[in-house]
Amino acid sequence: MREMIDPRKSFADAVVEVARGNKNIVAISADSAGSARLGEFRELFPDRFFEFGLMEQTVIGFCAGLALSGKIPFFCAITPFITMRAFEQVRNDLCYTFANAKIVGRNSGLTNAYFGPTHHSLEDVALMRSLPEMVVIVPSDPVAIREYVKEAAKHKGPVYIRLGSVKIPFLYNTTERFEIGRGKILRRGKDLTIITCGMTLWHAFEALKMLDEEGFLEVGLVDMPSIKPIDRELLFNISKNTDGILVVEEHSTVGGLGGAVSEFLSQTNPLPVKLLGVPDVFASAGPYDELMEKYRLSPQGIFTTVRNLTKAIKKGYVEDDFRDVDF
Amino acid sequence: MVKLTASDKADLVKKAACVRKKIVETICEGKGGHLGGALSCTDILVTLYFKILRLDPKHPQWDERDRFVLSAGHKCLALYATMALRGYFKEEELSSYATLDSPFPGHPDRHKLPGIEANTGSLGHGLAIGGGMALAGKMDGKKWKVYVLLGDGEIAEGSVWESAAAASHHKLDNLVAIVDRNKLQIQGPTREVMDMEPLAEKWRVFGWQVREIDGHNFDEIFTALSDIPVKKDYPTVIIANTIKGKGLSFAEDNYKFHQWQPTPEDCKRALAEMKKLEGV
Repeated sequence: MREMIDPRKSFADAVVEVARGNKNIVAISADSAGSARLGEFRELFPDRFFEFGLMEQTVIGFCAGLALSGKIPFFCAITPFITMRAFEQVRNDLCYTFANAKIVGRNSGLTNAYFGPTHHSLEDVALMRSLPEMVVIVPSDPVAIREYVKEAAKHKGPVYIRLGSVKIPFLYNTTERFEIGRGKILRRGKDLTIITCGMTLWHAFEALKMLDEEGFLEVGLVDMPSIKPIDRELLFNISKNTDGILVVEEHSTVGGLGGAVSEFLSQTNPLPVKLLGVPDVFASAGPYDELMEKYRLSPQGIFTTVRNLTKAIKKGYVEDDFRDVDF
Repeated sequence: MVKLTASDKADLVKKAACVRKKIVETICEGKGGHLGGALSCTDILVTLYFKILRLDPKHPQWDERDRFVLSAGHKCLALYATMALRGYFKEEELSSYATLDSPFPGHPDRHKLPGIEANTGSLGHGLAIGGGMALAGKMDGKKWKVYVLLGDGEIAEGSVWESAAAASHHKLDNLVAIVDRNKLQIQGPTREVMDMEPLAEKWRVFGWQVREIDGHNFDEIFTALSDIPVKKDYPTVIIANTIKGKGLSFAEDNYKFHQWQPTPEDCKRALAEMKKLEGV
């Protein structure tokens, strides 16, 4: 049984680690200290931890003021509230100001499962990556989370890190290093390449095992945690060596990683790109695994999509297989 | 109680007249601009920049400076003109106001003009940003203070009150909010558009020390800002009663001059009045 870790715990441990080496790092909570696992930070650095209650938009403003005065705030809250409710403050107070503040969305994507659409976040990546100066990171495992918290602390400017709340396995060796603006080619494939980030990397790995067993051996896999800036060199390289791309993400198919990949490739080396995410609907409420199954983001869903897409590309066209599906 | 000397007061009166003249001249150079609010907060800004704020115009990023955040960013012409007079830049540079890539756009931009602390313009943002600065100052045991100027139409924004609660909760007694209460906003009287009265009481119940002054009386402005914090651990708000369009007879207390696109005749008349004012 592989070890499973709460991504919020990985984040909180990493913030403690960077805070030990940099006294300017402060942690901010909007009634989130427990849920964001920031209890240890609060105990170790009581003078550098601030609770603000439920006022996410105002906390972003406070983060800007702290950053403009030399501090490096890490503000963690539930994703729709930190990115959507506070969007204008993120835009003006952080991005337009070039504020050296880090915002961390927790319980992202569908991980707030049966709480329903008010607590889902399927638009946050689209929103955050539309902002000039913003760096957008969707890490896939505990090692990536730790490393990207370190990278965010080093980067001078606003950074958005997206975390889930469902426990995740280690996918990388603990010595693996990650950079802003760099993706990872985990496997090359001539027929099709899956590009993914976050939780669905794990599911894509599982899908690859199933595909291998079925004889679909030419399927590649790319982890693209740095959605903005995106790894253009990697994308261009991949596009020259694969017949099609499937972007898999726990996000709306509007404007997320799929948007970023499509925007780049359509202007450089167009090739068939299919987006597998939650279609343009308010998602259902229900158990997480069942939601992932419903929107084909489970290993089985990815497996089926890759199998159908690979066949379709070989036939010369990409079928819109969502058109008859009633979500 | 700290009082302004007679000569200091006379000097502030003159400086305020210069600032008002510059505001009107700049708008009259054909670009239009937010006139009414700039004129209503002029006396406050002049008092701050010449008598209250610890600053060094030649070193705008001096770490020990007091911070001033113009939350009502549309009043920036008053800030630009005051900063010019204080020596941050040459007055003639202001003639590029509102032109392409000018350091003086219609809302302040800290990347373009050294001395601007925050990129404001969207209302309801400045008090939180100033609150964050004040929190950082407290963390580092700094002596500097943060002053945030708000419009009275602006305070209908809910974020202002979230910030007010947070500042009081975190005991930011190095934070001063100044409400430029000219009682008018774009659509008309603030009490008709969105009544925020009783204003002083509202701030008080949010945990602030409240002072209410005549925002055109230099003695009152100076005294109110001279002994901050009023009470240890409490943020202070100065409710400054002002007149929108102050100093330009036909614009005074008239909401239609919130944003002004003057005709050549308007300008002729306005500049004549400003010249007279400067001779005070």
